Amino acid sequence: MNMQDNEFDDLFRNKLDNFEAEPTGKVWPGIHSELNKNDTGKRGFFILKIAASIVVLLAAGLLFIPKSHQDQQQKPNKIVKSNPKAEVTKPEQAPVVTPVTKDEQLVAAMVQHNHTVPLLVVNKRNVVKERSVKNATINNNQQETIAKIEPTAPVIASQKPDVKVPSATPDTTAHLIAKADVPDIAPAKVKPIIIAQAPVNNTPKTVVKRRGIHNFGELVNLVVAKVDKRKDKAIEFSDSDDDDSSVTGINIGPFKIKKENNKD
Amino acid sequence: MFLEHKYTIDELIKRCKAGERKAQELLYKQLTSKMLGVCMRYATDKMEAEDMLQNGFIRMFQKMNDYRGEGSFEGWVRRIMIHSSIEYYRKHHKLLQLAENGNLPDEIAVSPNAVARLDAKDMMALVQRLSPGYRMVFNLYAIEGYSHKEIGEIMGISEGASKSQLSRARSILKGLIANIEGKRYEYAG
Repeated sequence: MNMQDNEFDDLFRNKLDNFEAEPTGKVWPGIHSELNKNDTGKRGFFILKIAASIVVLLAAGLLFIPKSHQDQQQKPNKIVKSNPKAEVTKPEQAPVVTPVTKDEQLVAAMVQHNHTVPLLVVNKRNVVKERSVKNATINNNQQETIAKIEPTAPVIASQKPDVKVPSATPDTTAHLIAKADVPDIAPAKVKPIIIAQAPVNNTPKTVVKRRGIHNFGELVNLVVAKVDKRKDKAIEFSDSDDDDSSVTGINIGPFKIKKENNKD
Repeated sequence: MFLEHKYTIDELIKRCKAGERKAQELLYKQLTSKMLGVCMRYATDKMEAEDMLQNGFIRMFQKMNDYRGEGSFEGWVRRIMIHSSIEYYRKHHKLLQLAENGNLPDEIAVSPNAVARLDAKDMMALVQRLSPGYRMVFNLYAIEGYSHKEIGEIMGISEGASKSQLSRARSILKGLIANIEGKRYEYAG
């Protein structure tokens, strides 16, 4: 009996439909290289993000050191690169600080609520992301902001000795160079601030501790001082008598940039 | 450890859409045996099948974002492999042989048992012996289940051409099986 065509087809289909065979080793590499040709591959995307951040960080850091040169006289710049340590985790201390005193609460509040505070280093991971830090020029906005915190500022300033690390005297702490446009900061995500550190040398200088916070940099220094107990803070602003802030020190992970601040 | 993690197909698909190389490799490993099985039916031999397979996967990864979860993913990949195989033939064989008019083979009778006796490997070998055009049509109709109209569209031939190629394919296969059977009887005798 001659079977139906359907039957014939079915017999073939039943056996061949799920036929499996092992390919040789050359197949995947061929696919892989062809795919690489077409797109860069996003596997390294994460690494790329970090790399990009570091590059921008460097660029910003370099950008700001010359700037503070202009503000003050020529100061030698020391760029000290340290080995990558676990110091990157230091900035993470920021969330750990539990506010106790009223001014600590204020500081903490300032840290958390961006609308009054310039961006602070709050690292969720050990990735240092760069925030576009611009040169600070005190404008009205900032003055207003500073005026807001002024009332309690003296209280905070007086408490400084308590939290200060031995060598981190106000004048040796550097100022954050930050864009004074506080409104700009508000919507932005909290990112690490590039802090340039003034050289933390114990050269005898007249410590002119000004009452209150006069510029953005001092503000940041204050907050950072509460958090970063190291000799070289994660970021420091210069403490010049003028109202400009400029970064004079950075100490984040592998990046250590100190500006020798020999002004008096 | 990445390798230890068991991803579901959906997870892999998502990651492949994002272009993750590792996910792509895992998905490839997941599918490749079956898909090579598909390509082998369309190819003359395993080597050719691997070329089709490679092209098929490349195309799949490139078109990954087109798959939106409608219908079976494996079915979607299969279709890509089939198109890849047919495209391969368009490139490498100048003419897909159309049904010849002369020398129509006699209608050969073969028992179902004879066909059932064949194991998968034998069947695959038989299919691969068909001329490319017959092979394509036989696969598309008998195995994938496309209509003659659809086959016409896929291969760029008429419905009628598809029908005649199919019946030719069946005849040739039956003839080959009969030969095998004949030899069987010879040795048995």
